[in-house]
Amino acid sequence: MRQLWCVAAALACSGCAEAEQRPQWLVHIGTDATVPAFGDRVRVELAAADGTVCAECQRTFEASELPLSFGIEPGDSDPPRVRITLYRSAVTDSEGEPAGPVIELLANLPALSGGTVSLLAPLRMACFGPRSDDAFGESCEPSTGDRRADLVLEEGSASELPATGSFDGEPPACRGAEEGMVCVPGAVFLMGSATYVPLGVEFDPAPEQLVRLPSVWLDTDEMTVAGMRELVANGVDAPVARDDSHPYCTYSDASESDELPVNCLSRRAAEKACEKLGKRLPTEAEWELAASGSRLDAPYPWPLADTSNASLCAQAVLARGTNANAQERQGSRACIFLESDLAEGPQPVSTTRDEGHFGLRNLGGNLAEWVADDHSPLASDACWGEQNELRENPVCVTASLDGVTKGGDYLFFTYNSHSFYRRPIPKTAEVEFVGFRCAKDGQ
Amino acid sequence: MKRATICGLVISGWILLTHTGMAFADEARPASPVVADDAKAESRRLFAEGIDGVKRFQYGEALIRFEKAYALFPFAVTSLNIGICERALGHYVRARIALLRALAEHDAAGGGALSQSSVDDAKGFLEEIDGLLTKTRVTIRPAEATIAVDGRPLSALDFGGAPVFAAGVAPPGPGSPAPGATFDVLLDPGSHVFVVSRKGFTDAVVNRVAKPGDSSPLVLELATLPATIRVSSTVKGAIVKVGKNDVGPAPVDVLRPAGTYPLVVQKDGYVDYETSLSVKAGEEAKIDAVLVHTKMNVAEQWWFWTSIAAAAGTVGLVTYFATRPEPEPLPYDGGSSGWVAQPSVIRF
Repeated sequence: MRQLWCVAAALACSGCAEAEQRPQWLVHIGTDATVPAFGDRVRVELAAADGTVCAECQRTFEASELPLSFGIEPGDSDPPRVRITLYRSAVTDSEGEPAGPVIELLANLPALSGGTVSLLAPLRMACFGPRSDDAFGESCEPSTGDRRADLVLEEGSASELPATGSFDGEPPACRGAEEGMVCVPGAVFLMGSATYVPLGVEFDPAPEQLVRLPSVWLDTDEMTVAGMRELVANGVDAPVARDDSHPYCTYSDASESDELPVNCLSRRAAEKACEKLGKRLPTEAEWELAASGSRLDAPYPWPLADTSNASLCAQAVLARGTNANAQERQGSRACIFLESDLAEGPQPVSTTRDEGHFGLRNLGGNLAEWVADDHSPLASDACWGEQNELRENPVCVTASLDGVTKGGDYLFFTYNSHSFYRRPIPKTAEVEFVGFRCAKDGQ
Repeated sequence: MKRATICGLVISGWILLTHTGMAFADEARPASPVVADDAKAESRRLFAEGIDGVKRFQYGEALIRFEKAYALFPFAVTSLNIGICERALGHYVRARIALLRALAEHDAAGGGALSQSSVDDAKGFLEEIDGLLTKTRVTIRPAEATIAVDGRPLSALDFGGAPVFAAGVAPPGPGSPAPGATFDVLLDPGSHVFVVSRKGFTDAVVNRVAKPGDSSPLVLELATLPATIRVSSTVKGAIVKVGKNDVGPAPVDVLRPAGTYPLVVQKDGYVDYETSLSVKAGEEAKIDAVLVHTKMNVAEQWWFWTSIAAAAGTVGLVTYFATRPEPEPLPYDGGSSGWVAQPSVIRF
């Protein structure tokens, strides 16, 4: 009897029911990655169990919109899989598919129990790497970074998602103050480039390397002749001096050379000079972090508004080879050709051109610079390699006879000025287009 | 302070520059009449580009040019420059081959292809390189296997009269049959990956760092490798247990030492798939578990009569609801993006 009353009451209530909330999924997407450095686009796809995705089942958002959420209406068949990809729009193939490492989550939806089921899709740096495997439904598990099959999105509220950029944490400031030096805040960043055509395996900026660096002090300017002269007076070996045989070396006793960057010295000589100052050479990764700033915005060490040759010549001390250089290599005077009153050769470090992201000068031009690393191709496992593992403050030490120089110089044109450019040069070479700047631990 | 701009000429670039003039001077000599003039001209152009690359210390780029030049017009000076570039890039085994070839081509030309200083340089480089290379004695057990080093098969070389096998010389590709149970491999200094494969067995992958002068042997024993058990299932998400351990849903790969293992594949509503599996060292065993539904007498299930009762009640309720006005349901929530994906509308 009691049950009959219950049924009657239920019927009465339903007769006057308010509009219902229909069952659905509401997916919240967030990331701990820094955007746009690790991705400027978020693509959402719904796929059938066999991985088939129709064009209408995709939507792409700007990564700057993260965290964001979207709804999924239940269908007649099995719940679809959801694939969510944080990727770089500049690193895609001819069909627009992400071509480099991404942060991707391929997961099933849990069963609907009525009402709105709120789900979490965290895109974590632990999953920065290869794409998911549609065939096996295998994807990266966000909390561990392990690859697993048949992930299911977990229920939760948007407040449980990581904050954008939280993987890096707050960039630690450098300790104290260093005269003539600039603090480059530590960061997790991608060394190398996935988009530029290599000149050969030794120069290949790929595969990119995921690197975490602490803060570091870098000299604002390349070491000058005046600065080197003081070091030589204190026992450091002198670089090759300018004379009739070496007209393009800058080291001399003449005061007009004081502000020129010093060149024509080996890597060991540069190391000794820095050591005398209580400093060291920067690592390749430190140098590149300083030069690259934010990867998507800055292929060159300086902010880039205009990529015309005239603009690039105006930005930095580039392609100002002498007539003697021109005989050897076409293009070494490209900037002088465009602007005939430009001075030849290295220029005083106080030039107003080529001011980089952190106030560092002449990273892209004037002189290329020695760094502390021995040379090893980025594709080689000797120091780097194909994996997307996070490398902590790396420095490459091998049996190679070559060191690495970074940055462009007065002799060559723009390719060498890219922040990712790496050039193997024998460590003992004392060449006219290579100088150095020193670094010091920031912490 | 007078000193060479490039210290000591340990670097190869300046030596190349020294040779540049010589190379062109040498090319002025009569060439073989079978070599087409345009091929020679193209070779000369590529050679000049190679020299230009070396002046910029871009040895990789230069090497490509020299190799193309050599392919068009084989010449001792080009071989010498290839060897110098390879040396600068740290590819000592390849540098050694190219330098020996340069000397052989010089001898074949009656001693007129290279200047005496170039011959002396080449010999000096060879002496230096022989001190940098590592000769590693490799033993493979069992010997019926293929071997690749750094993704390339080995190449046979004559090394001071004794046969050795060079790594990093042959084009990239799968391994070649091991030349024996024990043999010598010539390695550049640095990190190398040895892969030993045998049909039906997992690959043995060993990293080895070669140091100049280090001649410690390398023993690759397939017999100590774990077996790989690959388990798949006809039912998605079936759980696999090997021994007492739940190793996850199928498909799954499990590494285990050689031995015999009970294996169970389970899924609710299906009869457990149970078997016992014996695997040998390095073996790759595949199991595809076919799961069948559990048989049951439906009328004996509690939910059968409950369902009938529920269906009868539903008929009454449906009749009622069919006759009353439907309230408009709330719209779907599109979250912050406002997008509601509709797989019910869009068919896959």
